[in-house]
Amino acid sequence: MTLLKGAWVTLQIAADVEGVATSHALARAGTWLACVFLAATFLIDFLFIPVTGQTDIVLALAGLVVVGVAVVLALRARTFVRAVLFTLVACAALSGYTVIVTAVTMRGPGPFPSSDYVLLSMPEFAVLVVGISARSLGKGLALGTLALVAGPGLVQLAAFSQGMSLAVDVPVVASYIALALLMSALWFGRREAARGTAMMAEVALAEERDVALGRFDARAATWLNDTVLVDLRALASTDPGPLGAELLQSIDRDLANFADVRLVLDEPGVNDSTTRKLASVPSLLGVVRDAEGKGLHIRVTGDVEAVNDLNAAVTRNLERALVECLDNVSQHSGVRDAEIAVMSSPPELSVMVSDAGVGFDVNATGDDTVGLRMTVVETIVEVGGSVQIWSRPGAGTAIFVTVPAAAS
Amino acid sequence: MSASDARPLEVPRHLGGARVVRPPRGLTALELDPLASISARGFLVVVAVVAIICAVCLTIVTVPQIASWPLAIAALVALVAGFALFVRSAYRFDLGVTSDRFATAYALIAVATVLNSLSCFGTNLVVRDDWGLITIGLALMAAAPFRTSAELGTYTTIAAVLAGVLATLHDFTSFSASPIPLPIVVLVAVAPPLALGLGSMAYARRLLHGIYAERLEQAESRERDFEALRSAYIDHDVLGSIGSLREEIVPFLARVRQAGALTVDDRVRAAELAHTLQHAVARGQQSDSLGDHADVLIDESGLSPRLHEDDRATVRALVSALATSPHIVPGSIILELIEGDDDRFGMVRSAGDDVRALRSDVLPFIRMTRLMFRTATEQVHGDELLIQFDINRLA
Repeated sequence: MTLLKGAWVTLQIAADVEGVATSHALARAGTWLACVFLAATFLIDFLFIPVTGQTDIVLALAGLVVVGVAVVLALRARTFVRAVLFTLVACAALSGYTVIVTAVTMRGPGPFPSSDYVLLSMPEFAVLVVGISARSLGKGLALGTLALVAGPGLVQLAAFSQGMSLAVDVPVVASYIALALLMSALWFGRREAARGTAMMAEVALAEERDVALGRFDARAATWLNDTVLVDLRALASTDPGPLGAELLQSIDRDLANFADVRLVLDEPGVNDSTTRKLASVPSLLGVVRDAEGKGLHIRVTGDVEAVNDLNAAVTRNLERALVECLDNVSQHSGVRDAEIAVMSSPPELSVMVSDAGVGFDVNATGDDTVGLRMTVVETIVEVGGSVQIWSRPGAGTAIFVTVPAAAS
Repeated sequence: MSASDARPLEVPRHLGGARVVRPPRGLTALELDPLASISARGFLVVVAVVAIICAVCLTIVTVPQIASWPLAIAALVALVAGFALFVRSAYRFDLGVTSDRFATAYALIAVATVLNSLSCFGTNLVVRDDWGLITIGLALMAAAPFRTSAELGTYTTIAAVLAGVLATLHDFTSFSASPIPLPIVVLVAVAPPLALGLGSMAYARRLLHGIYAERLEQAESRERDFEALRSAYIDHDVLGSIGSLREEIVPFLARVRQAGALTVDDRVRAAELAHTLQHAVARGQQSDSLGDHADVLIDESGLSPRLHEDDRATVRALVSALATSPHIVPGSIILELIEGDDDRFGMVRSAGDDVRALRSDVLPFIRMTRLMFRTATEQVHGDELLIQFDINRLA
């Protein structure tokens, strides 16, 4: 189900202009990349212990572990100096590993491999990634270059010292160049993305401020129009003399509201903003934005945040059921407005989707209604919930979904 | 792994303590942060170039190992086609790197991997020379911002299985005389796609969570701003633009209430205040923030106040950017919003003394418009820049 195509496109666009999330994500990617290459090397070395009978490979395995830890720490280092130090530790451990592994290899039967063989290449790949999480291009390239020189560079020296024939490890050098290009692409891309972002963010905030003020003004205007203006007109058309009790009461109410405007603004609807209200309820926001994409106008009420407490499977099925309900509104109700009301009554949570559309006969066996019932009911029953559907031709539809609220 | 199945992520204390961050299921990083597509596309192009150069170079270097040139060439063609489709989808705003399109591109790249492997069937010397094992992993890495970690997990599994099967096949046909045990050959073959695939999954997942946490923080910040604005409206502005009338109406009503009776002068004053108030209310209802920014707003169906607030902000940003360009002809910005029976769309027209320079000035905002509205086009006619967009949602 493509539920959220474009659903989260909002103008709060400065999501990662500083590159913090990207940097952390790259650090995580680098960690996995390095760990897989090191783990593969570890396994291969380990398999060679019984084959060669050389127990000093265990020392090489320890060296690989140190390489892995140091690479991960370098990727997560908060300062450049620490990243450099951890990179040097990783490279030193890699050199130690190389000395042992090449010594074992050279003790075996020939022909002997050259210094670009796979047991050295894979840990070299692992070391090369240390620079990818740096927040500046210069630092990233500096770390990568340091890793290339002190990592594969020293590996060549160590292999040579053990009598192994030297060969430039083309894939490793190519990987270094590729990583440098990829970091540059990301960095320049981010710089391009940041261009204009400040203005857009400023405009978005200004727009939101205007929208909010517009809502306040609209509410205030409606209130003035419905109360004060009516009373002033009543006064203008009242004969001079003592005022009636009803008019005096209205004036009292007007004066009270003028004294505390909060009462006016607290009226329902003034502070409602679906985006704001649902910002912390991603599953419902996705459903609502999906429905908005189909041209519906959704009002969400009740204890919406309770949806966050549902377990993952229940959330997933509830989401699916709500999408189905709103699809039904979109296709068959004949209206564009619908409401989602959330009611939390532990250990259950109920969600009602209602519309004031054409409705249908619940007992009818048309494909549409059967489809709705089957899909929604099956989806909800699967997670231990229940569904009730109320509808009559011409009187709208309400679907009442109850799911277990307790986390499992 | 789907986001719903994801383990909760602790967010920093400044975001509200130990709160669960659980992005909506099926969401990609780019859907959350559309501007990131600019860097993601650049990243993709570099990956594509690196992959193709790598493939060509390794093909040239390993000529003695190639048993079938038609297969070797077909592999390169499939690789180029796969990346071309991927890049095209990423650059076409109306297409996008959807699940289906990425699946097609990935399938082509996987076919390239198989063809590359089969091209040296029986003559392969070392499995690490098979470029397909690298390029299929690179494709996954490039896909990280575009697709979900769950999808990437599936593709990583496919890539790893493919690498394992191909390596096993070569072990029986090409390396049978080699003393290297099969598990080691398979490990060497599987490591690159597995490393790049798992890296891409981690990247996609962490990026999504990071951006989502940032979004929640922004939402909270907006909430605080909204409350501050509301307080200011209540405590200082007192009914905003209409509030100034309060100083005239309240004393009048208070005096009438205290007197409990109405004089002839009071009647006249009440009529005057009612008239003034009616005009003030009507003026307040007519104000429109979009109209304030364009030189001319044509909105016969009253669409502007009904636009979704994010769409309004996008249009406003575009119009503001046009207005601040040194190449704009003053007074030439026309914003037209049109609502038909079945569709709604908008047009921003503006004239420039150098329309190409004007377009260049506002290009980031045109891109933003393309990202925010599902369909948006821009054209230059003479000295006029025309940007048109479909409106798919309302507030």
